[in-house]
Amino acid sequence: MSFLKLSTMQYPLFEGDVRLEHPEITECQTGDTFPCPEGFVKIKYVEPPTIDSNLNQYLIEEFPQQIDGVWTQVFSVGTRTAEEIATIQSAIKMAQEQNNKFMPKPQVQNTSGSGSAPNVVA
Amino acid sequence: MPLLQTFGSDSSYAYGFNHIALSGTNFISYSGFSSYSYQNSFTSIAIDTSNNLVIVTGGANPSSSNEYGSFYVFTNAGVLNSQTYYADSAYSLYANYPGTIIKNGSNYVVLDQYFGSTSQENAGLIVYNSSGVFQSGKYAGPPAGTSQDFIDPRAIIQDGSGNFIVGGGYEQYNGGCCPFFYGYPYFTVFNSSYSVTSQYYITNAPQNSYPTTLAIKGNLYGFAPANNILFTITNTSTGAGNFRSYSGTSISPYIQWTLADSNYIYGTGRDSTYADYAIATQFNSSYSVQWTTYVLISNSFPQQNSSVLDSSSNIYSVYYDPRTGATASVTATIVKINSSGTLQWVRNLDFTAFTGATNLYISISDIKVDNVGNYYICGKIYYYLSGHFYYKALLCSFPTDGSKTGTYVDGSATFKYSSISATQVSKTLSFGSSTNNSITTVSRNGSISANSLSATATNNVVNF
Repeated sequence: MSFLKLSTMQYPLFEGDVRLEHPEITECQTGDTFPCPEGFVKIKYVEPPTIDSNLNQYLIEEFPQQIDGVWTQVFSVGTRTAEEIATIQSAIKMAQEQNNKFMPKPQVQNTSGSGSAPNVVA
Repeated sequence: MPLLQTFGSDSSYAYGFNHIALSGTNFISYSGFSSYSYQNSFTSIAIDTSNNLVIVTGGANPSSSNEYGSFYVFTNAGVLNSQTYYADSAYSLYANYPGTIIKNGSNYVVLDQYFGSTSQENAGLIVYNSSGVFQSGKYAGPPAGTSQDFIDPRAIIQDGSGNFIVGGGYEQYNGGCCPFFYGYPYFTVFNSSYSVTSQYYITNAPQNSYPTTLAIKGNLYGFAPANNILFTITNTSTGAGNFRSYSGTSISPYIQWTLADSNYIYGTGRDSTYADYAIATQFNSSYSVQWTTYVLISNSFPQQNSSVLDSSSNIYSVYYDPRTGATASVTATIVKINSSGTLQWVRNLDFTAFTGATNLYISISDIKVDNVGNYYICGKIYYYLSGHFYYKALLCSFPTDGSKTGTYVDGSATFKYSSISATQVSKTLSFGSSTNNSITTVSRNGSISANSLSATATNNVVNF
């Protein structure tokens, strides 16, 4: 659930953002029971459009619009350039490498003997 | 005014922390120049029961003799109390994953990828006191196979009996090629005296299905995002249990962090197709999903490293955009979702480096909450300037209510903490059946005894 603050047209705001201005709203008030204080409007959710899954497109949430008197979410679809896609693919590769292993696997060692204690860095 | 804390003189260490004090005890702190990256990457945070200390570990680079793992002690106001460096011929302090430091009484236990001599890499537990002084260490090597096998320990949790359960991967050298190693999910149990009491790997799960995090609610749970699997270990001594798949409708989830409170189990992560979603879900021990929340952060490409629950079961998850910026700012994103699955706030921490810097990068590793309304994130930032790469460890504290947004300037470095555009999207997540997915394990042959790291280490402690 998101909110629009009418006096400043600040969007999006969520429960925690509204609660910062209205600390009288308890943690138990959430979801359907979360009040809409004066000066705020709840935004009607809509299903985002489907985009391709090949990094070519991405969703953009635009500023909400009043549709039949109801403040309603608005989405558009952005298109990435080939350069942006290449940057993302490079970042994906780096992130996967970091996730799989932070360090390159070391060379095979002499595996005889027992464990050694950490030495001191003086 | 920023408080500059300076100590040390060796460029291989993180030193000279720049400290931006916010109001109250909150802060943004980052280290000075270092030509080495790993000890300048804060990995994991633990907080003591009185919130006086934040403990952060770095990692050591096994390929360089000039890099050291470090143990830092901060106050909850971000004042550095001490820093301890460790390294040895096997580069023992190599804590490379978030959530791998656990407070145990008056000590701290760090899960370590120990480069010992009985095999290449081991699951090691290193014990320090609250000042970062080495107390003891134990490690356990691969459970079977050749001397070229290795362990990739990813996660650690302490159960109610004081045992330390380690999860991760066991990579068994198969002598062939492409790949040379077969990856099994792997668990080792250390008792409260740090002796290994059981060790097993799972042979009937898909390859490389390593549990990346662990949680306990009666059973032991661990998500393995690589193949969309959730492990449930019902007997941690034997490895008995099951695994099952999870999936989503229209958006495929990639769940890598496992959490639990007294009522539910939680998973957090992102979408698997890089469609800009942060994801959290709550389910019960019957795998009945109570809610799933997808948060769309447009064109953010969120990578997740860590999540945490507070005492009210609010979930805080930290993401970062791994795309390096040329001269633009780089961004970490923190998402708070309450115990009902409702999005509470989304905050960006944008970092803009010094004039002329390029190749900016930020990576947030861990997030923790204290019991007085603050959360902490740690990680690293780096950039390229005047012919050098600069690596800086980063530690920040912000209120859990999302307040104290603003722009904070420290010299020519700028941090902006702000609300951003995001939206909660209705999607689902469900678990598959565990039919035919009972875990088949192979336990370590023969007796198991952890090798001791009987260090007589003194250390390099800098006190203030």
